[in-house]
Amino acid sequence: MSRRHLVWLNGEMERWEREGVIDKPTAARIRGLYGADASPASRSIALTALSIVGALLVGLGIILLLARNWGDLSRPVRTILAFAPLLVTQALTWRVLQRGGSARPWWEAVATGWALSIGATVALIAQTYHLPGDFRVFLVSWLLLGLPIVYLLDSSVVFSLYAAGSTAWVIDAVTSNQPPDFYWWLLAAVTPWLWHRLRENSARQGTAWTALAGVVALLVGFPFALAPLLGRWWPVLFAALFACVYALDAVERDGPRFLRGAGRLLGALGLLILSIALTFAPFWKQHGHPPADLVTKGRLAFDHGILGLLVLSPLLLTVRNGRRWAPHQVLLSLSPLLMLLTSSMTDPDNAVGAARLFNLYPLGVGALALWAGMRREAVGTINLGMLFTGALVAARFFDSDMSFTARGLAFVILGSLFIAANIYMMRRKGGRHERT
Amino acid sequence: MNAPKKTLVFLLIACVQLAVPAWMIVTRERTLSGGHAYRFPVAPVDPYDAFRGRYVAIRLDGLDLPAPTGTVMASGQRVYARIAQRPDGTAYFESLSASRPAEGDYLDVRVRDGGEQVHLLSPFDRFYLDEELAPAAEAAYREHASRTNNTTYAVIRVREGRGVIEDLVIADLPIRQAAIQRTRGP
Repeated sequence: MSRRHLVWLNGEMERWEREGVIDKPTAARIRGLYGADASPASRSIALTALSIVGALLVGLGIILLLARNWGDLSRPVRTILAFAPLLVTQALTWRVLQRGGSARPWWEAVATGWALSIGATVALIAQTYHLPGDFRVFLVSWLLLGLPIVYLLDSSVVFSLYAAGSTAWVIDAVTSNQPPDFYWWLLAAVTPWLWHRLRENSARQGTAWTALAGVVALLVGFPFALAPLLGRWWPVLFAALFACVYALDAVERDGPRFLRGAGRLLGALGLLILSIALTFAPFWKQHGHPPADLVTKGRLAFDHGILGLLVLSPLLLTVRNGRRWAPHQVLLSLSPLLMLLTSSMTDPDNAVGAARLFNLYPLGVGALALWAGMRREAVGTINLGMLFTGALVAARFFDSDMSFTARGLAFVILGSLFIAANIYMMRRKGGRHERT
Repeated sequence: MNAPKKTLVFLLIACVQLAVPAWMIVTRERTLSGGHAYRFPVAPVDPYDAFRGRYVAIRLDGLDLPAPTGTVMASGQRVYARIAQRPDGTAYFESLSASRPAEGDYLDVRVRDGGEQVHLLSPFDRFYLDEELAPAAEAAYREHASRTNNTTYAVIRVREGRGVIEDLVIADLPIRQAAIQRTRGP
């Protein structure tokens, strides 16, 4: 079968799988029948990557060449040339749409070029007419005009650009003391596409990267968007975001995990850093709230709904998947709730007590993860447990607020428990060998 | 989505994407071709910060005005600045109005700092220039836009509240010409 036909066949089979006409094993057998099993797919990825880079370079090169001679051109000529990038990319999009599935490897490249050309056109017109430099207005125009491309061409790259652009918008708004409310509308506009992609196409190559781009953008954008509203509650917000990312990626699915494990790592690391920070008293002095503050602040946060939703989301996932989850995973997902409750009930004058109590959290996660990892012989889980325990040990070892005696006793007790657990596991393994 | 639907959606998207920049151009061309030209003095700038990249940073002079009688303006509020001309031909903002004036030329502007005495946000903040001419233009601009010697004007076409910069003038010469003259030497 010719290469052109192989490319067409692969493009069509992707569509058949998406629409449920054939299943994966059947698709694999068809590919094997025509010798299209491995190489066209990898060729397709290479084609896509090369075409994206090529499109970017050509587009940017043309812009630079135009810029070199821009001042010598009359205004009417500049106006016409300003439309050139947009018209060219629209023509290319038309072409690939007409070619259908066989042109699928070009979709991402064309979509990327199309999205970038919108910004180039608007920027060139702004330059021609010396328009004021309102960055947010420029960015919103670009984002809204480019958003339909995400839906039309199902483009992960353009989605990532859109996510980055929305994040840039909210950062600029907040740092300029402007209301960030429009950020939620920007997110809402792209959510249906993202939801559909994660649910329907979790096996596709670009999906994990799409999800990761979205997660990173949210982790940066959300705190900026909510900071004016939430003030001192930002640690709970971060905990909720990290717990959501962890919980979503930890849920078992029929296909690959939606972030290929990157979400669990990102979420767990974020929660580790936060929880260790919360074992230090100065942190609670700034972020603790006397009990009388609970009702006012709590109502404010939950009235707006965002923080409440984030705090509850990992909890809901825990309840739904509880039986299949190890205890340490449950504890990680509960972190924002625990942090919210502790923060609400802590008097800043009693920060030391809260900090000491909160040591139990990373200790609990670490110990439970080690236990689960040893039982299942899962290296990743054991490493997570070691990370939490090790970080806590390091933090306390160098904590000058605790006396040598207190630290010494705590370490001896903890060490004894670990040794006892080790002996228990060895005996258990030995008993299993005797039975076999 | 089937192929015909996708094509239709694409055409719709393409039309909107072309229409938006086209509208930007049409409104500004109408102002440039049919609007009145005013020479607004440009506020003196920090000589080390006038040029950023490929454009001249500018700010109109005379942006402090009393609020319309009986009103207190808020930051970010839209307001209409009536334009008048001095005997020497330069333009300035004469007064503010909370509603669109029925006659005379005016600019649609925003309030930067509100209260009874208002400071306006400059409706124009940049003038783009060629990279090659930039050093000479910068030198000419610094010489003529200092606090003791300000002979720099922005020529702005105004129509129905919208303004478009037509040119930046330094000592009665368009800035490009002033820069070219400077590069060629006396």
